Amino acid sequence: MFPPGEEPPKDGPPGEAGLEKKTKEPANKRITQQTLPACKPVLEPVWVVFIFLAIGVVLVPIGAVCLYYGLKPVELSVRYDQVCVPGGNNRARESYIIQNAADDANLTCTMTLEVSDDMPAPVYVYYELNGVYQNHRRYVKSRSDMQLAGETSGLATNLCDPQEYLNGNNSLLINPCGLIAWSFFNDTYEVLRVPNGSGPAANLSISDTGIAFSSDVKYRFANYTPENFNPTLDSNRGGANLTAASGGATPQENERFMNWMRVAALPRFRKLWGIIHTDLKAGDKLNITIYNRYNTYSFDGQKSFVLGTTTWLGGKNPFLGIAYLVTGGLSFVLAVVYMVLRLYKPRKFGDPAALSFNRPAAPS
Amino acid sequence: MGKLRDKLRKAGKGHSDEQEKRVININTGHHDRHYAGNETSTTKYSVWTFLPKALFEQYRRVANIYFTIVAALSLTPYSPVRAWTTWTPLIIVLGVAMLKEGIEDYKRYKLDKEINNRQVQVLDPEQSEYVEKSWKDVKVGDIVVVTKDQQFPADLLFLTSETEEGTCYIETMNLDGETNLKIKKAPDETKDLSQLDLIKFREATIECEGPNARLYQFTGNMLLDGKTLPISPAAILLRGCNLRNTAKAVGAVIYAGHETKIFKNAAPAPSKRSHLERIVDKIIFFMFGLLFAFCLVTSIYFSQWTKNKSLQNWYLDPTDTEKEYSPDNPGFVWFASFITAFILYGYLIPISLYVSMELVKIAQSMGFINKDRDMYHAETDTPALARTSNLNEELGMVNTILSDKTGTLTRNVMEFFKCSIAGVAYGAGITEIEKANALRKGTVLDDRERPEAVKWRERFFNFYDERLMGDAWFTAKDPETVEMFFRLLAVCHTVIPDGPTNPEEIKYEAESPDEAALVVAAKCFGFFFFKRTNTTVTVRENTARGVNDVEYEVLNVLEFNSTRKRMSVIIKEKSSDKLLLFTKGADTVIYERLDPGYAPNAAMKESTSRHMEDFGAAGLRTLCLSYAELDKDWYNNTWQPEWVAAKTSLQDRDVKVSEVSEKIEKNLRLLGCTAIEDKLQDGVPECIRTLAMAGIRIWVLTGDKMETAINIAFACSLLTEAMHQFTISVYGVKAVEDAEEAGDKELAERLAHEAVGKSIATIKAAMEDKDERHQFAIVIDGKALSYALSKDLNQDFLAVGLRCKAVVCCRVSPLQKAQVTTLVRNHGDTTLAIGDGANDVGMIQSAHIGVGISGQEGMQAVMSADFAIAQFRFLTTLLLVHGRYSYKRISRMVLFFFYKNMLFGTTIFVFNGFNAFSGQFIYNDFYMTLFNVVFTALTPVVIGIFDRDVDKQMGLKYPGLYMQGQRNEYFNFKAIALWLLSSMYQCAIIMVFVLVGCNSTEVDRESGNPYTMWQTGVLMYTVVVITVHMQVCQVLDQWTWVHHLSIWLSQIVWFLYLIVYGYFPLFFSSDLYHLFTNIVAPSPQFWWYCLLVPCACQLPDFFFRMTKKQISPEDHHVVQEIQKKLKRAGKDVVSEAGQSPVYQQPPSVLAAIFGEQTTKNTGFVPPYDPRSKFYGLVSSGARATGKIETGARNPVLTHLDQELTDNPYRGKKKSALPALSPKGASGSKAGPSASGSSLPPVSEGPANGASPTGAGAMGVAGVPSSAASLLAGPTKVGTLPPVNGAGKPPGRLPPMGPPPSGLSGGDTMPSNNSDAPAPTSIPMAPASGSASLAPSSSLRNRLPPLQQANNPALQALTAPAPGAIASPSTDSRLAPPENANAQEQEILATYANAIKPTKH
Repeated sequence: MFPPGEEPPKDGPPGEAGLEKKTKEPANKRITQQTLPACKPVLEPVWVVFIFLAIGVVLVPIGAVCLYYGLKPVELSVRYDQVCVPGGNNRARESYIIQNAADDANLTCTMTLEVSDDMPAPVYVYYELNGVYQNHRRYVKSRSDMQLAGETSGLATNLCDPQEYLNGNNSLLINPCGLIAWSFFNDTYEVLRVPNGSGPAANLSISDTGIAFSSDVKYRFANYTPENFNPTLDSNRGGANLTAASGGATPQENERFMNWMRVAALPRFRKLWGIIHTDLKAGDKLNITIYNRYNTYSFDGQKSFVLGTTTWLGGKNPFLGIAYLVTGGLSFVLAVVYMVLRLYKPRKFGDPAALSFNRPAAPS
Repeated sequence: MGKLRDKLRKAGKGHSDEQEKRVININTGHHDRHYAGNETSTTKYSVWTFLPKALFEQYRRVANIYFTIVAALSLTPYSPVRAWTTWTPLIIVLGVAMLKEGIEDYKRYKLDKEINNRQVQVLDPEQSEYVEKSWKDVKVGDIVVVTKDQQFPADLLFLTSETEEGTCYIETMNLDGETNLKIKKAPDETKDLSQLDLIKFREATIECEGPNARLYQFTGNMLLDGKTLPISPAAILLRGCNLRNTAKAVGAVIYAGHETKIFKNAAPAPSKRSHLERIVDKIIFFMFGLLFAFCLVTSIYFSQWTKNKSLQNWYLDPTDTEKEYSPDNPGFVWFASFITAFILYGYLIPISLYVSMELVKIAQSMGFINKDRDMYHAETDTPALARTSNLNEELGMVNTILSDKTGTLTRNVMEFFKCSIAGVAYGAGITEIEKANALRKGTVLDDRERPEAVKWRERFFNFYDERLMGDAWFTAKDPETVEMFFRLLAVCHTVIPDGPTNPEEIKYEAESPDEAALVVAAKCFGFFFFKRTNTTVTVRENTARGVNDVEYEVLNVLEFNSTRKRMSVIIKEKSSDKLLLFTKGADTVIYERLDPGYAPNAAMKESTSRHMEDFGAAGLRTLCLSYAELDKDWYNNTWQPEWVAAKTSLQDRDVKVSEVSEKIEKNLRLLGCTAIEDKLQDGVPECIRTLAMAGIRIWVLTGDKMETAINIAFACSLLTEAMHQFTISVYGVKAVEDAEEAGDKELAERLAHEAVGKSIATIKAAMEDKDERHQFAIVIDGKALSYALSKDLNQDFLAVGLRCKAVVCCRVSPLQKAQVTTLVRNHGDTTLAIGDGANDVGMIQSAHIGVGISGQEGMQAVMSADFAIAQFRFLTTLLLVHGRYSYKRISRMVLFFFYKNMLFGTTIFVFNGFNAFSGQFIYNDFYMTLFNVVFTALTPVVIGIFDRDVDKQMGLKYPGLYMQGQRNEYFNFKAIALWLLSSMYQCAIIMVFVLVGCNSTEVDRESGNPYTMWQTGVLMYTVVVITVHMQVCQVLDQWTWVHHLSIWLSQIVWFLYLIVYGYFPLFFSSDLYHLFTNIVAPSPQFWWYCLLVPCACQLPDFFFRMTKKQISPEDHHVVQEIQKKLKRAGKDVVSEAGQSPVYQQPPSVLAAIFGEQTTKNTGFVPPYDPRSKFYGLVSSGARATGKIETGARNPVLTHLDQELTDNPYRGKKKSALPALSPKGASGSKAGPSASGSSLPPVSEGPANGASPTGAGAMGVAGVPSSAASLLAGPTKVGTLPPVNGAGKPPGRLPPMGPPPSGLSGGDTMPSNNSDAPAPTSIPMAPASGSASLAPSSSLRNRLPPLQQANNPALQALTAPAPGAIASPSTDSRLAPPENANAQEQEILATYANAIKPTKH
C-alpha cells in the first residue's frame, strides 16, 4: 500500500507515548508529504497520434450525421419589405406605411412561393427581421418579468422606462410595460396553397399555439388583460396590441407575444409565428398575403417570411455538421503532421541526453 | 504605503526616545500613570479597530481598489449589471482575506494573553511580603523577584541576588541570539540588601533616560540616602532574558510593557514581495490597458452609434431617453458608456486572483513546507518553518545563495581535535575534509575508530593520542611544557562551570563553543576546572606530583576582541606566589609577541607553525598558546596602576585598555597550538553539489581566514578541481606593503584599490572568451572586498562574481555580508541568504529570501528570516522541491487565471460588438459574477496547491530541472503571451461556433423554435467553462483525486447551478427561470456544441504542446518520461530516486562533454583551449602527454599528502612509523632549494601572489582581517620578516599529477603516493601580483620564473610603488565602503554585537 519509506509513523515504545506527543515531527500524511497517489499521463508519440485519430474518429461520423440532418429540412424564405410597399427607397416606403397605417388593405401585399421539396407537417412559419437590435442594452432590460408573470403589487417596473407609464402619466402603468412589449411585431400572414401550382387554392390554417416554450406558457406569462398597452397604433412604428386577432388577448394566450419577448442574441433573428399542420408537396405554390405594418424602414431593416421544417436536430443548418467534419478532419491532419514532424525529428522517449543541462555545449 | 508606516513608526519611536527622563520611586505602591503598564499586546487590531484597519490593509492592493470602484459604479444607473452581483464577490474576496488576518491576530492575542498572565513574585509594600502577580499587573517601580530559569517580566534595575557578589547570570537568547551566559552585577550599595531591607527600601529613587531601543546602553542614577549613584548597564536586566544559574534575582521595574527595550526593538516581520508577484502586477497593468482599450472602443462606437443611428431605431424609443442614451449628447453617452464598459469588462481582471494566491501560498507554506518530513531535524526536533508565505515561488527562482559558514555549513559544535605541544603534533584523527579530499583522490583513509580512543570521547572532545592520554604525558617530550599547556587550557578562559563538580556531570557555560572545547580538553587531560569565583579559578590538576586542587587567583582578564585576536589572563598561583600571564590567540599575534631571547621558542616556532598549517589545511581552527612569567614588582608598581587607570577611564577606554594590554602581552613563551574541528553539517557537500547542478551560484561569506575558508570550501564541494580559481587579495602586494611600511596610508590604500581593480580586470579578461563549460571560482578576502565593493569597482566585481560557480569571501564583516548581498540582489539576481547568527541578520534581510538556521544558536537570524530550516542540507528540499513546485504551481495558476479571464472577458467584448456596443452581455449577470468565484475558482487553487510536474524525488535526482525556474521559463513574456494568445484564439473559435452556428435565425429543435439570447448565453458560457477546464486537463501533469474532484466538480456545479437556480423564484432567477431544464437542455444541439467547441478549442493547443514536446522538449518533459519509464520497468520511482545519492545522478555536464573520465574526480581540468591566456603557460611538453592535466590542486590535498607521510598515526603507515617525529619526516623530504630551517614563520609570510594553494595559502591566512589590520597599524607589519617569493619548503609543494614529460626544470623526487608518482617542485617566482590564476598554480610551479613573469595577470599587478600601510582614508573613492558614510556606520554599530568574537 505504501511505497518504501512511506509507511505511516510507527508508534514509539509504549513508555514513550507521552514524549511522542511532544515532538514537532510532522505527521506522515500523503497529502502534506506531497505523495498523493497520482495518475501521471505522459503521452508517448504513439498515444498522441492515437488521440488525434480518436478525436477524428469520433467527430467525423457525428459530423456526417449532423450534416445529413442539418441538410434534410426544407426551408423557403422570401424577403418582402422592399416589394410589398411602393416607393423607391425606404424613406418613401416609410411614409407610405405611416400614411396608410389605419388601412390594412393598403398595407396588404401578396407574394408567391414555390415549394421546392416535400415539406411534411409540421411546417413552421417564421418571420425574420434583420437590423433590429433586440439585444440593445436599453431594449433588453426594458421589461418586467414579474409583471408579465401576473404580479401586480410591489412591482418594480422602473426598468421598463421609457415605456413604464402611458404618455408619462404616472397613474397609467403600462402592463405589460417596457420597450420589448411596446414594439411587439405586428405583421400578419395568410397563406393560400395551390397544389402542384395549378390546383384550386386553399387556405392553409396557421396555428398560433404550441409555438412558444412550454415553460413560458406555464410560468412566465400570466393570464391577464393588458392595461394601457398600445391602446392605439402608433403610425410611426409597429407595436401590436394583444388581441385575439394577433394571437391572443392575454400574455399567456398570445404565444407570438411570448416569442417576441424572448429577445434574440443578434440583430438578425427569426421568430416562430405559427405552424402549418399540413404536408406541403414539392411543386405546390403558396400565395402569401402579408399585412405589412411593422416599420423597419426607418432603420433600413429587412423583413422576410420563412417556412421551414425540422428534424430532431432542428432546422436547416449545415453548420454543425460541417464544424464537426472540419474539426474531426483537422484532427486527422494534425495526426499526420505530427507523425511527419516526428519522423523528421525523432527523439528517444525518456532519454536523459535530451535534458538541457545534460546537453553538451549550450551556446548562449 | 509601507514606507509611510515605517516612517510613522520611526517618528513615534523618535518621539519616545526624546521623552523626558523618568523618575521612578521604588516600591512605594504609587505608580506614575504616565509610564506604560506591563500588559503587552502584539496584535495588529482590536475588536474595534479590526474592521477599518483590516480593510485599509486590503486596499493596499490596487486590484481591490479597482474592484471597489467597479462595485461603486455598479450602483450608478449606467451599470449593465445588478449591483449586488459586483458587491458579492468583492465582499467574499475581502472577507476571506480579512478572516485570515483576523485568525492570525487572534492567535497573537492568545499568545499575548498567556504571556500577560504569567506569574511573578512582586513585593507588596502594604503587606510587606511577596505576592504572586500576573505580568500585566506589574508596574514601574515594583520590586519583583525572578527565580532561576524564569524570564524577566520587564526591564529591571538589578538590586540584589542571593550570591555574595550580587551577581547573576542571564541568557539573552531572545534578545540578541547569543546563547552564552552573561554576568550582571547589582550596584554595590544594594547588593547586600536582604528581603527585609527591601521592604523598607522606599527611599530610593531612580532617575533615568526615557524608554529607548538601545539594548546595551543605559544612563541613569539612583538616589539613595542622599547619594547619587550611577547605574551601569551591567545592572540592567532586560525583559526577554532568562535568569540562569542563579537562584533568585531581585530587581525594580524601570520600563514595563511596550516601553521595554525588547519591544522597542521589535521589528515587523520582513515584508518582501516575490519577483513573480511583481510580474503579476505588470500583467494586471497590461490587462488594465486592454480594459481601457476595450472601454474606449466600446464607448466611442456606442456614442457615435447613438448619435447617428439610434434616432432611426424607433423601437428603442430614442426620443424619450435618459441622458445616457441621448443622441443629442454624445459626450455624455461616451462617458456613461465608458463606465458601463468599465464594469462590464472587469472580468478581464481576475478578482479572486489575489485571494487565491494567498490561499495557495498559505497552503504551500503551512501544509507542505512546515510539514515536510524531509526537512525535519530529529536531533533538535525542529521542523522547517515558513515565516512568510509571500516568497514560496521565489524559492524556485534562486540564482545565488549567499551563505554564512560557521553554524550554517558547519555544525558549530567544536571538538578538540589535535594539538601541537612543544613542537610535537598530537592527535590521530582524520577530519572530514581530509576524508573528502582523500576520497576525491581515490584513496580511502583508514578512519576506523580505535577502541582505546572511545572511552576518551565526549562532547567537545574528539581526540586520542596515546602519548598524552591518562598519565602518559608525564613521560612525553618536554613534560613541563605539556603541563603548562594543559594548565593554560584550564585557566585561560572566561568559562563558567555549572552543575555538580565532578568531571562527568559538570557543564560549562562558555561564550563560544571553542572555549568550552578547550576547557573540556583540559579536563580530559587531567586538569579539571570546576570552580570559578569572581577572583579565583580552581583546577584539579593531575600531574606527576599527584592530584591536587590548585587555586589560582585571577588578577586580570584581558578580554578577546576581534582587533586583539587574543585573550590573556594574569594569574597568581596561590602556593607559589608566581605571577603568570597566559595568552591564547591567533598565530600571527602570538608569534609577533614571542620572546626572541627564549631559546625554546626558536626551536618550536617552526614546527608549531607547520603544524598549524597542517591543521588549518585539514579545516581545523587553530589557536596558539603561550605564557610569560611576570616580574611581580613591575606588575604591581607599574602595570597594574596603568591598567586600573585605563579600565576606569571615561574616554577612549577600549583604546587605552588595549594599549596597556599590549605592554604586558610580550616576551611570550610558545607552548604550542590547539586545533578544533568545527564539523561540517551532515550532507553539506552533497547539498552543495546538488545546488551547483541546479545552476545555483554559491557565495560563502565567512569571517574565517582565507586558507581555512578555502579548505572548507573544498571539503564541502563548493570549490572543485574542475574550477578555475582566482584569488583577490591585497595582502602580499609588495607595493602596498611598501607603502604601508612607509606609513603613507593614503598611497597604500590607493595602490590596494588599484591592485584589486587590476585583479578584477584580469579575471574578467580571463573569463571573456570562455564558454559556459568553464567553471570559475573567486576567493576574495575582506579587505580586497571592501575595495571591490567600492563604487567604481563593484559592477566589474559583480560581473566576474556572477560568472563564477562559487565565490568565497573571507574575513568579511557582517556589514560587508549585507553589502555583498545587496550588490548581487540589485543586479536582478534572485538571492537567498542563509545564516544562523546575529551577524547574518543584515544579509538575511537584504536578500530576496532570508533563511535562518533554526534549532541551534539564537533566534536572531531566524526571527529576521523568511524561512527557517534546521540544517543547511534541507536547502535542497526547500529549493528543489518546495521552491520548484511553488514556482511552477503559482505561475501556472496565475497564468491560468489570466487565461480564463481573458477568454471570458473577450467573449463579452466580442458579443458587445453585435449589439452596437450598447453594453449588453449575453450572459446572466449573476452567473457571470460567479465565473471567478465559483465555477472556475477551485481548479486554479488546486493547481496552485497540488500540481506536480514530476515526483519530488525526481526533482532532487535531476537538480537541473531547477534551472527552469531560474530562467523563469514558466512566467516569462513568452509564456504569458502564449497563454494569452491561446485564450484569444479559443475565444475566436467559441465566438464563431456559437454566434454563427447558433445564431438567432437558426432553429435548434424539432419544435421549431430558434435560438434566443439567454439560451445562446448559457450555451456560450457552458462551452467557456468546459474549454477552460479542458485547458487545465491539458496542462496538468499529475492527476490526484483532488484534481479530479475540483475539475469535474466545478463543471458539475455549473450544471447544478443552472438547474437549481432555474427553480428559484422568478424575481431572483429572471432570465434563468426554467431556462435550462425547459429550453436549453432539451435541445440536442446544445450537447453537440458542448462536445464540439471545447474540442475545437483545445485541438490546436494540444497539437502545439505535443509538437513542442516532441521537437524541443522541456526538461521536465524528459524527466516525466524517465519517470514513466522507470515505472513501466516496474521500478518504484520513489525508492529508485530516493536511494541513490542525488549527486551521482544524472551524469554531470562535464561528464556529458568529456565522457566518463571526469567522474573519477582526479584532478580534472577542462581541455586545452588555445585561446585561453593561461593555457598559454602550459609548456608544449605537458600538452604532448595527451593526458588530462592536473589543474588547480586543492591545497588540502597537498598537505594531506605530506601529512600522510609525516604523521605516524595516519592511514596505512600508522604501524610502520610510530616514533617518527613529524618534523623529522618533513625535514627529510625537504627539497634542495629551501631548507626547512630557512622557513619563515609561515603564517606571517606575505602571501606570494596571494595564491591559496601551496605555501601562499598560509601566508594569506595569517594576515588579520581588514579591520584588524587597519587598526593594528604598521608596527605589526614591521615585524614581518622580509620574504621574497615563496618561502616554502619544496617538500610541501603539491605533488603533481602525471609528470609532464617535456618538463625537466624542476627537481623531482620519489613519492610514496601512487597518485602522485613524481612531485615536482620549483621555487615560486617572485611575483607580487594579487591575483593568481589558480588552475595554473601548479602549472606555474613548473615554469621557469621568466615565463611566470610573463603571465599578464601577475605582471599587471606588480605595481612597483613604495608605500605604507593601509588605513582608513578620507578619500571616499578609495575607502572601503564601511567607511563610506555615516549611515553604514550606523549599521555597523547595529552589528557590533555580532562582530564580537564568539566565533573566532
